[in-house]
Amino acid sequence: MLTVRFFAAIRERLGRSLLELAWDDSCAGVAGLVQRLEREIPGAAEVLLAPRTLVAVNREVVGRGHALRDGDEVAFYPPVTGG
Amino acid sequence: MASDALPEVEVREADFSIDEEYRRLCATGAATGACVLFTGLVRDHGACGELQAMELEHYPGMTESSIAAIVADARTRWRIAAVRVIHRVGRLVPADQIVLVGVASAHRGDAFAACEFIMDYLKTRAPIWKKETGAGTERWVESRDSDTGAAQRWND
Repeated sequence: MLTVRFFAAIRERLGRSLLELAWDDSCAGVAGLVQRLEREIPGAAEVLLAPRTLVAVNREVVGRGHALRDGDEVAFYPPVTGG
Repeated sequence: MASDALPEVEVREADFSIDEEYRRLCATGAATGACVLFTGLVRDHGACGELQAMELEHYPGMTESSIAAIVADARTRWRIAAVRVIHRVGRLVPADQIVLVGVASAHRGDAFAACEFIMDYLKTRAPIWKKETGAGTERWVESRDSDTGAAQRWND
């Protein structure tokens, strides 16, 4: 299973904060996961592939080429504005 | 000692007392000769004009671990006796305290630099987002290039 989280403006735009997906090999990379999310939430790909969108896997920021594994927690979020 | 029981990094809704935090940081040892405390406050103006309130959202778990990683990085650069970081989340109004970064060290140079470094990195790395409410509208705060530049200068 993959746990997918969305935060802040992305969470609001997609109308979801959390999604749990059964694992399959199409999710073995961020790009494949985004395609699958697009089927679940039409319009998601445009938001998730925007250059400013950040991706974290198991709470570490990763690049778009990062490999995913069954059990991972993947988060998509906009540039941070804390402090 | 009571100060040993406190986490170095806390993300919470509750406010904090500068006085208490200062006393805890100073109690970390007789070798401590400098204590720098930075506090961030909610301004009464945002990008849309007058600000009524601010909602802070974060990624529980990752916020704490990313700030802890920044503190660990700071320890490799400066001699630090103690650090305390508190970031508030939830609904805040103008003049509320948002963030505290406190650093105790033997000398002021290390304390000043480490405090500023932790704050600069926190602003660009910790997964926290602000949404402003004011003048009948709500909007997410945009990240600023000046914040990215402030963090990058530590690597120049």
